[in-house]
Order: sequence, then structure tokens, then C-alpha cells
Amino acid sequence: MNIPPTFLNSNTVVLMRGITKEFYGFKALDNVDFDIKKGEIHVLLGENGAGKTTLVKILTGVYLMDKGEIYIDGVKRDIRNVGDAVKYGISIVNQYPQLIDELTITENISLSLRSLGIIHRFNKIKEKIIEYSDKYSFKLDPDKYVRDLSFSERQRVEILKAILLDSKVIIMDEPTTLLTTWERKLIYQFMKRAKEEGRSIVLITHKLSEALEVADRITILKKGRVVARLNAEDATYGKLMKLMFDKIHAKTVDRKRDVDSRNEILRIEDLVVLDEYGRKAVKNVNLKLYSGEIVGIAGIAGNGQRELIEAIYGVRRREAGKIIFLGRDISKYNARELRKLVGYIPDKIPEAVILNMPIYENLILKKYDDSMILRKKIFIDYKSVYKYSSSLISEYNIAAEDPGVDAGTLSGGNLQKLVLARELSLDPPLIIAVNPSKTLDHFSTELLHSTLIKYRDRGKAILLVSEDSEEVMKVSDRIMVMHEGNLYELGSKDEVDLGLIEEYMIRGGEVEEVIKVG
Amino acid sequence: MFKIEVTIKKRSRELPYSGFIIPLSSIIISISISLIILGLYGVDPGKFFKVFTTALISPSSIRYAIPLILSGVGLAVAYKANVWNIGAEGQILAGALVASGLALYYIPPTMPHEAAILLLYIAAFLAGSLTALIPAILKALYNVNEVLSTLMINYIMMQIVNYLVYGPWRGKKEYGYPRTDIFPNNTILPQLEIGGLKTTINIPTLILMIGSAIVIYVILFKTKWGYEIRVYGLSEEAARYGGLEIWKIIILVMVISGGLAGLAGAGEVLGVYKQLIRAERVSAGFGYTAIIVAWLGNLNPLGILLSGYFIGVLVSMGYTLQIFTGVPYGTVNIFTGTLLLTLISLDFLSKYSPVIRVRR
Ligand SMILES: Nc1ncnc2c1ncn2[C@@H]1O[C@H](COP(=O)(O)OP(=O)(O)OP(=O)(O)O)[C@@H](O)[C@H]1O
Ligand SMILES: [Mg+2]
Repeated sequence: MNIPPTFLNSNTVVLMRGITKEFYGFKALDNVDFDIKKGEIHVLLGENGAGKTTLVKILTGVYLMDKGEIYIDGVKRDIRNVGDAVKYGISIVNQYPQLIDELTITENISLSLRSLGIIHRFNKIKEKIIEYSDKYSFKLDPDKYVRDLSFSERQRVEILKAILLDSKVIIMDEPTTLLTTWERKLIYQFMKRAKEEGRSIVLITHKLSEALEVADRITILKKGRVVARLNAEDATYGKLMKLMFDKIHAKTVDRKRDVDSRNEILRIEDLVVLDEYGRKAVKNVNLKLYSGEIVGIAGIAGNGQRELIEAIYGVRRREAGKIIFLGRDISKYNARELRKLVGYIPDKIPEAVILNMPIYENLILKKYDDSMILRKKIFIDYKSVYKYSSSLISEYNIAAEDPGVDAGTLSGGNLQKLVLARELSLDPPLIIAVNPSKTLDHFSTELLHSTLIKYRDRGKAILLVSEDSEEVMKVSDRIMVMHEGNLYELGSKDEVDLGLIEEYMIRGGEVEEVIKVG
Repeated sequence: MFKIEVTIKKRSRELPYSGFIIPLSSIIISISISLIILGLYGVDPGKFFKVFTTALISPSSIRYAIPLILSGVGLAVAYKANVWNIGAEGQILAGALVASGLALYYIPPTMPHEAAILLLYIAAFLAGSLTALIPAILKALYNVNEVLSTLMINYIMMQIVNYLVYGPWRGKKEYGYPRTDIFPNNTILPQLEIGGLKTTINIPTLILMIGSAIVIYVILFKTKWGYEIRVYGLSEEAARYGGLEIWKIIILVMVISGGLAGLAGAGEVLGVYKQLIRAERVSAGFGYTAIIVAWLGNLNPLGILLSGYFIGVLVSMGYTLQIFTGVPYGTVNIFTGTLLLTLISLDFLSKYSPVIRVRR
């Protein structure tokens, strides 16, 4: 779908025309037109692998396009690197904020301004940080060290950076996936303010409700082509779904579970775990997990979830307490044995894959020493590995031409699916999933949730750690919240509501006192 | 005023066929640069090419290729695991030293030839392995940087060998030269004869060289150990995530790496010199040159068979150049130096693209 010339007017700040990008014969973008108007929120939608990230990476100078033109304020421009994009007033807020832990907020921001050749006085930068932080109610202390910031605060630092770079177009690639309702509201608020200031926002998201709430205009990508471009007034949930996906299959999430034959899978007693700086990240946590149930732990990132999970998975030392897995303390397992018995989908997917290795070699990371795929005990039977990988790729709907391509070429969502496929295919008694759907589109998320539930129904235990309270609410049987290293059990699914979870996520144990007093 | 702006950008993928084009073009570029430098010495290019083509088919090129390939294949194993063994030089010396000591003082002259040679090879492999084991353990347990520790051991091994040939092991029939006596017959490796003429190529080490390249290729790309080595080399985080036993990987690659260098050392003293000589001459920098061999062969043992042969040609050419043109042997180092330099820069360019602009 190309943009007719009449569509454009003096309000158009960015026009991308006929953008084509191939990755080794695979067309990630095929003759895509995309325009951004002054003072609008433009939402970019599309299923996993549709080409959204690729498109904005081209606009911000991370990738070079094969074909196409970019006009900025009506003038044709060459964007060959990030510096060029910044020069023309285009910034991107990274999904994983790229900041230096050991520096303060002001230092971090000054650093990136300097590396882009924009030199300001340090004090002036600090003043501006305070000014804008106030303006957008970001509540950021410029002298705070980045290591002490939550995920959401880091993201706000990235946004301030874009503002101090004087960006008129700010691109946000799935910014709200890891935020609580309150933090999300802050971002929406910011977007509206920025709009009023005459800036334009490009928002990539998988949440249709979000798109409907904030968008002025919506562009939908499918398999590298634009399939629709519409004004928000003309968009409805059903219409968007139809445009984004070929098939709309009704999903039924089946909740039967076998309560009689419950075995204890995991028991944690008075667990204490320290973080990198020697602070208590997990404080005397107790937890029991039975077969055939999904326990959901909600919480804002940085409240000790990571340390807790890593201790269970055996990659982090515990300071005190017990972790009993299948009746034995985890210290009694050797590392390899434990890894095979615990499927783990970490938050930072890149640490669970080898980006420069082909997909089929990635899929055997936990299997390569199994007698099943070895011949004469030492030779890996790559032929059957290849076949096995092809079947996993189709079973889990991973968008990859063949198992031989490097994992690093997959889109964010597909990388997530790759790890999911590998971990579930081991058939372990325990699965730990941390924010497993954050990079997935609507159907992949549905698929993930029903996969997890089916897996539970086979008598397995699942520990779901998520910053998305709705996700926790939707799939968990028992719900807990982690706040400042403490774990609060709120009860079974029927006993809690979304509001309560979020109160605990923000205030932790204080909530109990409030309830008692009130 | 013009302002020149240079920035670099990571390519989304490496250039196609870079594994093949890069070594080839760096060879061409470094030949050209060396030709210019040799031209300044007054060597005419015709002569250079004559010496070069002679070296291409000269048995002495194979003789030099043997230690280079053996050590280069070993280094490739370590580099695949991202373990930076710079100690092949010392590991070659360790193999040479132990083989010499056994040949001179322990192996009875009555021992059958085959048994003696087998024993010496095994001992030399172990000696090289042990030398590499120290830095490996330090790295695996205490995270000590292996570049420094392996490098330091090179100097220690040199001092030990020189102490022995100047002191307790100095030969009785060698007129005071710093070298040991010639080894007994049953410990000397048989040399290849071409047209009735003996060459300095010794057959058993040649076979070991080819065999080790094939075996290491299979280990790296077809077995579970090779899988572990490559995973750890590409992503330590993923290795930890998968529960691979990292300390075992580090020790395994260093033991193989050192062992193969040790074999190269034994081949040199038992098959070429037939006595232990000064350290600088036994290893002759092969341990360092093997680093270039490993990278030029793209860390692939089969590629290293080619790159090792090519560098062998260069080394032997260096010696003939010295004899026929009076150009010092060291000029060959200019060649290998520019080769490594172009190799590294081209490799960089295949992963990143420079964007150069001139502005007013
Ligand atoms: N560097 C690369 N090399 C090869 N293929 C790539 C590369 N980057 C992206 N692709 C491919 O291009 C397609 C589009 O990827 P992109 O990351 O733009 O998708 P996306 O719409 O952002 O998806 P998601 O919602 O999962 O993040 C995918 O099929 C992906 O595999
Ligand atoms: Mg994306």
C-alpha cells in the first residue's frame, strides 16, 4: 500500500518511501511507505517478525536500507548512522535501556550528548533534567546512580535523553511491556505532553487496547508490507485483529486441573540471596510449588525476582536457606542435571541463546549430551538434530526459513519462541518463565499461555514471574507478589483482583497495614 | 576548510564468503607490500618470484609447515573456546626438552625403534600439556588472564632449555658448543627421501600433523566436546545457562593445545636436529608464527593445513632469500607481520563498514 501524494501536507515531518530491506534474500521490508505527522502519536502494529523494528532501525540509522527514500521536512536525507538520525531530530528509546550502571543520571545523559558531538555544560544538563523531569512528572533525581534505578526509571532516563537531544520524533519500541499500570500511565501522559509540544511519537506495541487508547493514526505491517493505514477513529479491536492476522481462531483456555495427585516439586525455606553489590535482594523467602499448578509472581523489575530465580536455577549463590527440588537440596545436583530438570526462560533472552550459532545448534544446548542424539557416545548426529529442529520450528511457529540460519537473525518474539521450544521440549518437571510474553504478539501470547496451561495439566509445575500483572492474573493458579525482596502470597486466582496485585507491586507489605487499619 | 568525518557501523551480517576472501586478499596485499620493501633493498621482483616459486615446491617448506601446523591446529582449539593461549613457543620447548632428556639419558639403546618413538611422542605430548595446564588451572580456578601466564611460561621454558644446553646436558663430543650430544639411533625419527636424497621432513611427525588436523576437525565440529568448546567460545553466558562445566572446557582445550605443540617440539629435535640445541633455534619463533597460521586458516584445522603450508613456504623462502640475495632473514617477518595486520583489518572491515565523508 503506497501513500498517495495527496495524503501528504506541510504537517508531514518524516516520509519514508518505497523502503525495501532484504536480509539474505529474505524481504523483511518490501516497498514500505511510512509517514509521520507533526504532533501525532503514530502506532505501528504487526505480528512478530512483521518488520516493525527493522523499519524504525532504518529510520534511526541502525540499518541501511536497500531501496527507498527518506524525506525529512520535505527534504530528501541520507541517514547512515545514529548520529545522522539525531541530527535530523529522530531518537529511539531502546527497549533495553543502554545506560552505564556506575554513572549518575546526569553523567549518563551528558555522555551520550557528548558522544554525539553535542557538548553542553554539565550544570546546564542537570538543570534541564530537573526541569523536564518535573514537567513530565518523571520523578528522577539527576544525581542518583543508574544502578539504583528500576527498569521503568531507566526508561524514563532514555526518554529524557531523547528530549535533551531536542528530538522532534521519538520512537518507542514496545516501551510499556515491562511496566505496571501506574508506570504505563506515566508514559501515556508523557506521550500526550510531547504531542502538545509539537513532537511526534512512533509507538510499536503488541497491545491493541493500548493502540486504541493512545493512537492518532495506525499503520499495520504484515510480512514486510503495509496492509493498512487508518485514523484512530476508524479503528476497532476486531478490525485491527482482522488486519493483523490471517486467521482469527477462538482460543479456549482450559483450566481443569488434577488436585488429588499433587506432589511437592519445589520448596524454598528462609532463602536469602545477595545481589552483585552484596545487598540482600531476597529476604527470607518461603515458597512451595506443587505439580499441576502455575504460581505467578508479579512484581516490578528489580525487586529480587531475578536473584530468586537465579538461585533456584543454580547460577547464583545463596546466602542462607534451603531450596529443595524434587525432594533433594539443589546443591546435591550437578549443574548439568539441574539445568535439564528445570526449564528456564529468562528475562534477557540473549543470555539463553548463542546468537552467532545456527538455530539447530541452539536448540540442542540442553540436549547435546543425551544418548538420543549421540552416536557412539560422542558424535552429535547433526542430521537428526536438523530434522528435530525443523519440527520444533513448525510446532512453535518460529518464523525462520530453515534451522541453519543464525539465531541472531530472528526477531525479538521469535527468539523468545526459540527458547520456549527448547525448554519445553526437554519435558522438565519445573518451568520457570520470566516475562515470557513481553516480546510476543497477541496470538503468540495466547499460544504461549495455552501451551503453559497444557503443560501444567500434564502434571508439571510452572513458576511464572512477570511484570505484567494481567498476565499473572490470567494464567496463574496461585498469585504472589515480590516487593523489595519480600514475597507476599495473595491467594488463589479467585481471591485476588488486579488492583490488589498492583497495590502490592508498588507498596508491598504496607498494603497489609493499610488494610488492617482501614 | 574541509573536515573529514570517519565513523564505523556494524554490518548486520558479515560480508559473504569472508572466510575465504579475507585470507586470500591479505596474502595478496602483504606480498605487494613486501615486494616494495624488498625493492628498496635492491631485490628485483623477478628474483623474488623465482625464490617464491622454488619455495612453493621445496621440501623445506613442508619441513617448516610441520611444526607450524601442529601448533596452529592446537592453538585453533583454544581460540575456538576464546581461550588465548600465547604459549605455544614454551609448549614446543617443553616437548623438545622432555623428548631430548629421555632420548639421551633414559631410553636404553636396546629398546626397539618403534617403541622408543611412541614413548617419546607420548612424553612430549604430556610435557606440552603440563606446560599449558598451569595457566589453564590458574584461569579456571582463579580467573588469571591466560595471555600473561602463557607468555611468561615461554620465557621460563627458554631459560630452562638454555641452562641445560649450556650446562649439565652440554654434549661431550660437541667441542663446547651449547648443544647436547647426538641422540642414539633408536630415538631418531626417519626422514623422507626424495630421489635418493634425504630431506629434513620426518615422516612420523608429518603423519601426526595430518592426522591431528583431521581428528581436531572432527572433534570441533562433530562431537559433543567440540560443541561445548564452541558454545563457550561464543557466549560464556549461554554456557553458564546451559550448565556446561567451564573449567573442564578450559582445561581440555589447553591440554590439547599444549600437547600438539609438544609433539611439534619433539619432531624438531628428534627428526630435524637430532640433538637439543639453543632454545632460540629449536622453536625459532614457530610458537608465535603459529598464531598467524591459526587465524589465517580461519581456526579451521583443514584451513590450517593450507595456511600452515603457505607460511612454511614463506619461512623457507626467507632462508633462501638470505642466502641468494643477502637480504636478512628478518625481512620475512615484515611479510608475516603485514599479513597479520591486513588479516585483522580486513576481518574488522568485514564486520564493520566505515563511513567516510568530507564536509566543508
Ligand atoms: N539482522 C538480521 N539478519 C537477518 N534477518 C533479520 C535481521 N533482523 C531482522 N531480520 C528478520 O526480519 C524480519 C523482521 O524482523 P523485525 O525484528 O523487524 O520484526 P518485528 O516486527 O519487530 O517483530 P517482533 O514483534 O517479534 O519484535 C524477521 O523475520 C527477522 O528474522
Ligand atoms: Mg521487534
